[in-house]
Amino acid sequence: MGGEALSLERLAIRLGGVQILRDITLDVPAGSFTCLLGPSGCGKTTLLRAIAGFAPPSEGDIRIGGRSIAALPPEKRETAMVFQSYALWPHMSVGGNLAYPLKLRRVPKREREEQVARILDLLDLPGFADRPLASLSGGQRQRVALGRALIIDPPILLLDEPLSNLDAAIRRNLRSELRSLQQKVGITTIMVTHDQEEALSMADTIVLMRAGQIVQVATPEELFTRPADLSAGRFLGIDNLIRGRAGDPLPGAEGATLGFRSAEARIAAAPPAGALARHGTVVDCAYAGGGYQIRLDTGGESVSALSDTALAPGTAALAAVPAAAVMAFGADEALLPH
Amino acid sequence: MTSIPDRAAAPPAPRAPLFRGSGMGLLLVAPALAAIALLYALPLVRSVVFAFVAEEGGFTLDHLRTAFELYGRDVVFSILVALASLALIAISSIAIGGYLTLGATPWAVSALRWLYRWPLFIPFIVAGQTARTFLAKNGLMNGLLMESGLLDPLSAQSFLDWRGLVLTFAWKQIPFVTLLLAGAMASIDRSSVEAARNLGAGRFRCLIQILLPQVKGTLLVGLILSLVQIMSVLSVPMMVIAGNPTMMTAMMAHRVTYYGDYPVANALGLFSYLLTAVAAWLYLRMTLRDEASR
Repeated sequence: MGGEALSLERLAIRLGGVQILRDITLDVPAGSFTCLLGPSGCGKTTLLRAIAGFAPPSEGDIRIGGRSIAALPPEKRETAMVFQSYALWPHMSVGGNLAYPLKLRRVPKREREEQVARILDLLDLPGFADRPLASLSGGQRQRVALGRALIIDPPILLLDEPLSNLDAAIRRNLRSELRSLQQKVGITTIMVTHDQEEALSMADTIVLMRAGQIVQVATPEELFTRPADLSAGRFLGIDNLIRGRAGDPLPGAEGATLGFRSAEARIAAAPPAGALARHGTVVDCAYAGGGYQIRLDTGGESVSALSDTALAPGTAALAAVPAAAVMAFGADEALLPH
Repeated sequence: MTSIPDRAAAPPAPRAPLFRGSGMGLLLVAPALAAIALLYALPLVRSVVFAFVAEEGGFTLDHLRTAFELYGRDVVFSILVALASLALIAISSIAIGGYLTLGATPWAVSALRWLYRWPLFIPFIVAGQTARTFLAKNGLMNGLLMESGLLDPLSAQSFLDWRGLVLTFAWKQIPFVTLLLAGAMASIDRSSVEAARNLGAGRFRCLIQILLPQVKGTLLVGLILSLVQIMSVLSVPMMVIAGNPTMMTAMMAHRVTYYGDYPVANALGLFSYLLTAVAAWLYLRMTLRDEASR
């Protein structure tokens, strides 16, 4: 098994007179794990469906390993997709579901059975071939859906929010399982998700999308620490936005919008050296497990920070954030260079 | 300090049931039961019983024997016509339902959706009349074929025989079965078809191997209801077919109107019941087996 590179060139999609995607250009290296991340309605699922052949592009090209697949019907594209609803066939057993793609490729019966057994072992579901689907749990169904996609040894694996229907605990387990399986098989994988935690923990590269366009293509670390603009930052959990003042320990901070995450801000007695600090009065104090989430009014602005002790509303306090955790955005909302 | 009443010690008395025992319940359903018994069950049982009662009283198989001797060919003819019609209905409604669900040309799909239901609103007798003028030797179909040069006038033949019956029954019942089938197909999760296409199945395979197995039960219900229609419609065989053999319904009507011979007509009716009962039994057996395997 192994993956092939995928490239999208100036791809645009119109559906029912509405421009869903515009000017999407993206190179996905062979064997990599790429996440399409964005709020709902941003076009990420449409992009995945366009690669699979279910949303015809109005412009642009889609290439797998150098050959164009944009004009091919879905059944000729050899891109294996795992659907959010699993889309297993209820009239077939587990083995029947897994063997069907092989049957379509005229693989002889004996070989089909061997492959089904092999893939069930890989998915940690040995001996499940004859089970009816109804007897499987959500997590097991998800694995069967994944196995059905992997069994044809596709050049590209497309995952459409594959974990979103599962419980939080199963989701965390399957996340690492899916990631290690992908690395073991070495298949080029593109996953759609709206869950930033999922994208950050699984992907080699994250493609951040908004309103039908790509906003940023970056590694998880880069995306988390250097989001391209203010709204990307907000989507990635930046919940404090304040106006920069003269004397703030960041170059060009004055007049810029400074953003940081509450989890990085602390209530402190005195400002640590080189930290961004704001004095204010406590407006709100809520227990947040292991500490308190404090909201301060800092003269017309609101700042959230963590504190080890509870503070009564009305108390004067100081919130401090290490300068490295603060991002400065310019008037056009783009991230300013460090 | 006021004491709080001890609820645990004095639970509220259970509310008395509105109707005690089964007597009152029975009384409530009595009108419906009586209607079913008098208007449906009684005539049915009577007609079955009278197929076995001799003129001078007592049990006899004579009526059955007479019915079979005189109309055996019609019984076989009816069964064959019914089976051929059902086959045509099944194939056409699967094709239409499949196109409505999987079709890629939006205008063709909407045109078909608009067109296919029309025969539903046309009574059987009108369908029979239309078939007569369309399928006769000098009918509209041959006329059109001759005019377009596709048919030599000398080799024109009438379709007013078993073929006319099969075509008329199918024309009338295809929309009904398609309506059921297309509804069932539309309710299937779209991604289950997309998953099949994604893994290499063309549209036709998706229809036969993914959609059809999931709506099999609905198709069978449609076909069984159509069978009951075919076995009970009198106007179509009367209009379309002139000679012998013909459908059992026509023979039953003939026996009653010309000879006043109810027992033999009842015996023929019994064959119809048996035929539809066999179909219903096959259907029940299949659904039970499917449910057991789930």
